[in-house]
Amino acid sequence: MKKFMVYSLWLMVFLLSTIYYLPSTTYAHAFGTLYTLPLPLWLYLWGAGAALIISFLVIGFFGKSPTQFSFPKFHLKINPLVILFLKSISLFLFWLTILTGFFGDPSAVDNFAVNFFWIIFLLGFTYLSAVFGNIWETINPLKIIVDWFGQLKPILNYPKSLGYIPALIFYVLLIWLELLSGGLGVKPLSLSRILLIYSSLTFLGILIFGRVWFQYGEFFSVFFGLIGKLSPFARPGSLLEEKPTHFSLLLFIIFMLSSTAFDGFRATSTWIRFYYNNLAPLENFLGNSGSQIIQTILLLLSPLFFLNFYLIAIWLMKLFSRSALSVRNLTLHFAFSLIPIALAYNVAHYYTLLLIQGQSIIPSLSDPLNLGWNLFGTADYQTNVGLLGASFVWHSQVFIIIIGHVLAVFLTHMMALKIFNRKQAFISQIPMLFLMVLYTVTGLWILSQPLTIGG
Amino acid sequence: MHKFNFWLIIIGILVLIGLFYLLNPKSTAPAQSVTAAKIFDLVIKNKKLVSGPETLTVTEGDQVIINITDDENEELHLHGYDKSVDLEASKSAQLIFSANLTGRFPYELEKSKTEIGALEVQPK
Repeated sequence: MKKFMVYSLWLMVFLLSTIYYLPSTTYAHAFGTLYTLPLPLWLYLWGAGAALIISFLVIGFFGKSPTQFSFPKFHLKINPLVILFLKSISLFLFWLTILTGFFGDPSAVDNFAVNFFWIIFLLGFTYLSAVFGNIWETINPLKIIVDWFGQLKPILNYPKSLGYIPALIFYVLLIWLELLSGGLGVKPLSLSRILLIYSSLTFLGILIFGRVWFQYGEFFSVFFGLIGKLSPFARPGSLLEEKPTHFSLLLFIIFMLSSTAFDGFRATSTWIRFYYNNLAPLENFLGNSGSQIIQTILLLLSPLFFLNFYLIAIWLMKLFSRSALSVRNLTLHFAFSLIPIALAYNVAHYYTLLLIQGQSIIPSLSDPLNLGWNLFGTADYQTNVGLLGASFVWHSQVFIIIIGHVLAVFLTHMMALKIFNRKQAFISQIPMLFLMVLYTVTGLWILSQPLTIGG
Repeated sequence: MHKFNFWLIIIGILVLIGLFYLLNPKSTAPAQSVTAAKIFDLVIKNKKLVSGPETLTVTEGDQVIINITDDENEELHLHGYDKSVDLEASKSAQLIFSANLTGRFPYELEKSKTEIGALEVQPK
């Protein structure tokens, strides 16, 4: 019986992998247009100044009262029936997304799958996880499916030296699909195929390495796991007591920062000017997809900018505090302090997309399969573009980035107190503070740059 | 809470509020109440803008008049405002509306899905 279950999972992997070869007819349409204006210069300057001033306030605060702080934690006890309900919803939405990609409206803007996956799930669920914690751990549809097959005996032991590299590769592929695939990721049919391929790769990972794949290889588990650490409902100590065991998780967090920054920067006229003056000539050597290749390389290199400054700050921290801990050790110890900044980048950049473009889910819910249904009477709902005024968006973006900054500065200090004495902690925070200010000002600067077409 | 900390935070917040008002141009300059019509003349050739600004900057409440000439039969679509106008080859077409939504709204040639530029409506 057990063998039969294992074979059927292998068969599923095989069947799912053949789906890509089905014929397709699709067309892309403008999807994910941001209607936000660049930040006015004065607000950018104020935000930058505020980040600096508030950082010193936090440091000064700790300088005088070195008491141990802990974030307020709440315990969320959920009825098992509610969990069962959430799991069913999750599984239902998973299949609905796949189905509507294949059979729903062929236009990306009006398709349920495209709106649900890229906007509601990828953005909305991220923000939900930041508030309620790592819910994904419980309602991950792929996990629910794997659970049906009971205990599976792994074929190989997962090589721990690989760390989170598989999840990181999937992360890079996801961002590539979103930004650089020339619409591949937002064509409903190809999106469904990609989701099925991803699912089958996940099943394959589990068949070979066992459930440890959810920890290291399944992108969404790693991503929502990191974001969920910020939640007041998170497991106590998941942010301050735990730290990455592998360098690749730091890279993963840095990529959260750099991919959002890359996306934002790509839409600015500053970038276009730089691109045409310095990189466009290279396109001649690379043929038709030259621009795509160059941008892919830049996306891959983007973490280096942020990583470079992080490593410098850690090195200076070691120098100032005369700590006996190795740079490697310190690098990992402070890695999670970057999560709030990464999340703030994401929220400031994309929350308007969730609230404006996300409304497209309303009409598509009433007719997910493009059969002329009107299940909830919302099939003719028109997106309300005027929901958020430009002035509100500006102020909220600056506010969000500063909140992320304050949290990060606060966290690094808490983390410093764990390994240093008070005086060392105080001194060690100066390079970290400048690092956080640099990240924050970079984020604000990108938001303040004039935009160009295609942005 | 330590007394020093208390004053530190109060002063910090006051400095931030002070800077906010000092830097904000709207708190120093009186708001303009006159709303004028903003007229833009755009010429498109071969799906490219050859004359006129790519970014049309206006202020919330302005009357916007866009005159467009294209060398092909097309349709111009302004996102967000969701306004369209049919373009007949080499004939001038006009799009008139009042800018009551703030934000940045791309406009494109609808048939060929070519983005031409964007309308930026600054808040009052």
